[in-house]
Amino acid sequence: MTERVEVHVDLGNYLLGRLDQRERAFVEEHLGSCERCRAAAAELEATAALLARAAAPVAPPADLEQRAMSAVRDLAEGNPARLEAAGARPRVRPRTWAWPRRLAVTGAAAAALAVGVFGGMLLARDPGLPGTPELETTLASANGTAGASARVTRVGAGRVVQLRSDDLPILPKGEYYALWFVGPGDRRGAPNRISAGTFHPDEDGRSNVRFTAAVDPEKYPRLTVTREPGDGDPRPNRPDILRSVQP
Amino acid sequence: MYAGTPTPVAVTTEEAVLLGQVAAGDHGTPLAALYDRYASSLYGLGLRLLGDRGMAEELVQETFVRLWRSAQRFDPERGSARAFTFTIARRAAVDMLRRTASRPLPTVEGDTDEAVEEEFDSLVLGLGVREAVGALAPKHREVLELILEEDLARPEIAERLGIPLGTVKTRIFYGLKALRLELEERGLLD
Repeated sequence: MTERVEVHVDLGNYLLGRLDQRERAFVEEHLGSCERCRAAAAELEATAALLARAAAPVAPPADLEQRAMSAVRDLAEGNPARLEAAGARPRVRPRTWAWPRRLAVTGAAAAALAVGVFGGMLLARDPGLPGTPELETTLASANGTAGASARVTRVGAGRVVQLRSDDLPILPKGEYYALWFVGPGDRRGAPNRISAGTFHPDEDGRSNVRFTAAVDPEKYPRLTVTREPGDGDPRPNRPDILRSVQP
Repeated sequence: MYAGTPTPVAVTTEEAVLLGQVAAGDHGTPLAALYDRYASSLYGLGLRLLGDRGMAEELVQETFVRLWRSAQRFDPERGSARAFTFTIARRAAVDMLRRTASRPLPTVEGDTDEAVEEEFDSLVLGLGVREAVGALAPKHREVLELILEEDLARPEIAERLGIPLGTVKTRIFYGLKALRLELEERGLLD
């Protein structure tokens, strides 16, 4: 509760600078002779000065909320144009995926069909389930809102890379994603990366893909995903949408 | 500590929970709830700092985009969600002004980042003061708000509130005393 102090003059308005010259002179004269009022004025001087700086909030235009929220949603849902524009430092959302056994079997079976005769030798040595992975990595977008998990397994002289993501947006017709093995020193303009293959998410936005590649993950230890415009240019010159998270 | 001003514990906890939900990946309801709480403050600040409605709108939007991107770095031990948000907004404001360095800046003296940050912090303090006024008991709040918002003279305040002129003077004085306590409680005044 505020302590009740009797003052003899209009100190509040004096401190707020709201008195005219004559009134102000009167108060100041009083302060010269009244210790109680002087103490009260000194006590409230800083408060009055702060009050003068008070800044009221202002309601923004009504549609700003929708604009701001949809800008965030674009980022969150991985609109790649926005991801590039964001250029954020990697923000890693720890995502621990159990690698489902069913998927592994299905993946192996699908790969066996796809590789056919040519890959028959390799797959003959594949135990059917993924063996000991040489590389297991999580990929994330720059803002951490999209991710994938990948595993590279040695199969014969080559490697099988499996990639899974539920976050990659479905692309317009003609565009596709590419998965890359990335080596040291890779940068735009001077790439050091080898394509593992290209893919599309399915109609539910899920990507479960398996590629075979003759790449040593010791030499190319990182994986990235790019969005390719489908312009027939095979060179690696598109920005990364997802990147391996460094352990 | 983050920039900005301390806020009451219950509000702080609630906003920290909302920001935690944003950090966990929810850009729906929790983010909208934080928008409801901060947007007017940010917009008011942006208008004063940037002197332009379009830029003030951009500041609000940019702050929420950055808030989404960096929510995971929020650490409740280091300050409130509000302070975290305003620290982000301050950075965004500096970046915006640097980007548009050729624009005339009617409200910011000097052109260094530090000057902008100082002005920003001063405005954040002003928002905190205004909020403290709003938290006062009605008889104190009313008179101070009529001064702040409408710049009414004493007789006009008396007439508006239907109270004698002498009571207006007393209420302004005691309003200042109550405000002092409120500001101290919020850590805005030693």
